[in-house]
Amino acid sequence: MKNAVGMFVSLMVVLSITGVAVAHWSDSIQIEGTVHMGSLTIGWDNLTCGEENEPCTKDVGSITAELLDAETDAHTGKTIYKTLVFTIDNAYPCYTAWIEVDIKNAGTIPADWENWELVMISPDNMDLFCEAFEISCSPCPMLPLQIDPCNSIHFRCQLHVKQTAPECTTFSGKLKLNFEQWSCEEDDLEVG
Amino acid sequence: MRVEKRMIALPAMIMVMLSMTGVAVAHWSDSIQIEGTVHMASMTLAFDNREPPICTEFHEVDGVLVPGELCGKDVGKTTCYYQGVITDPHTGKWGYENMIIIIDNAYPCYRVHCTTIVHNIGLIPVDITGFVITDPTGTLTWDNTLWALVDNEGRPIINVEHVNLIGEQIDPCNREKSEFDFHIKQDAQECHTYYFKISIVYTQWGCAE
Repeated sequence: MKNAVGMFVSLMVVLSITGVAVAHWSDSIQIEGTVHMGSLTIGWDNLTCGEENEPCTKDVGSITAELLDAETDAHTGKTIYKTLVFTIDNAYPCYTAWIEVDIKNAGTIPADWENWELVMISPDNMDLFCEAFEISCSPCPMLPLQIDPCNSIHFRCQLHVKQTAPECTTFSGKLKLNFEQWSCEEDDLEVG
Repeated sequence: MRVEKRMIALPAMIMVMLSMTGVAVAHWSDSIQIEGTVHMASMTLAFDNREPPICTEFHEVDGVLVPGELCGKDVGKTTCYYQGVITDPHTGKWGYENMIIIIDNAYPCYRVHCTTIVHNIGLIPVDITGFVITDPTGTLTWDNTLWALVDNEGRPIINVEHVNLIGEQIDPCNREKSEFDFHIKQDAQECHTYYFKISIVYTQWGCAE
């Protein structure tokens, strides 16, 4: 009886060893992937500013503008500026100042200019701003506007002080342009 | 006393005789043999050397997959190739051990479809038991519910889907096509480099029946 049990146990051990040996034949081949992500870097570049001829060739009002917050795209090495600051001093009705600037895509993927937000800081009243100024840009951007990598859009924007502008008032505000990775709405991709 | 000496010598002589006879009997032995030789087979799966891998970009328009990128632009770029020659020692057939995929200038929504052929260059059938998808750098981890490599906050970064191959049995000399879709998800970071590795695991064939 003991012999029979011993034989059975030995048989099981041998079979299990054989089973392990069969299962041991496994292997694999590999797919190795690397994903280098692109970059979306949009900003200002090539800024100039000036004013329309003032009456009687006088030099009364003035405009200054500068680009701040430089950012260099890690892939392209191109530098753009995230902030454009302009200041108009001693303005008066009829005074007209202008800014010419590029919006440049320094990244590696196309971008869509989706929208913009104008926030008045002082006075915190959009109606007052509209009564005081008239802004026009050429070309007038029809949003969304698509900008490909290495491309830029050149704008000339004029700010005209209207007759209804109040004296001794300082207007300050912030205009924010919002961009997104491009999408495909071909009908909207026009510059008016 | 003389008798006693004989009595002593007789058993001793009998013992010597018997022992000699016994030696002679034991000398009568022989054997037959089983000589065994086991030539083990080989189990080798490789990427096929006759057909290079192909990766094709595509995007989705109204639920339909369309070749190319959005708006017909050429922004991202995928290259793929095989690397690491392996030769089966028995069949002499060869293939590649690794398939390399490099995606440049990727962006959220970028999708690429890769097709590859695997070839059983060994001597025994194999079963494809599964894929093991990992990030060799440890930055991303595989989430089996999302079918994606996710970042440390569980957000999907690269979605990987495959078509066929798992569960397939490939006989020696036979080939099988495999397809993978890679989809860069919204939470992928700009200017980052992500890595992934897919191991196609196969075992000696079994018989599910």
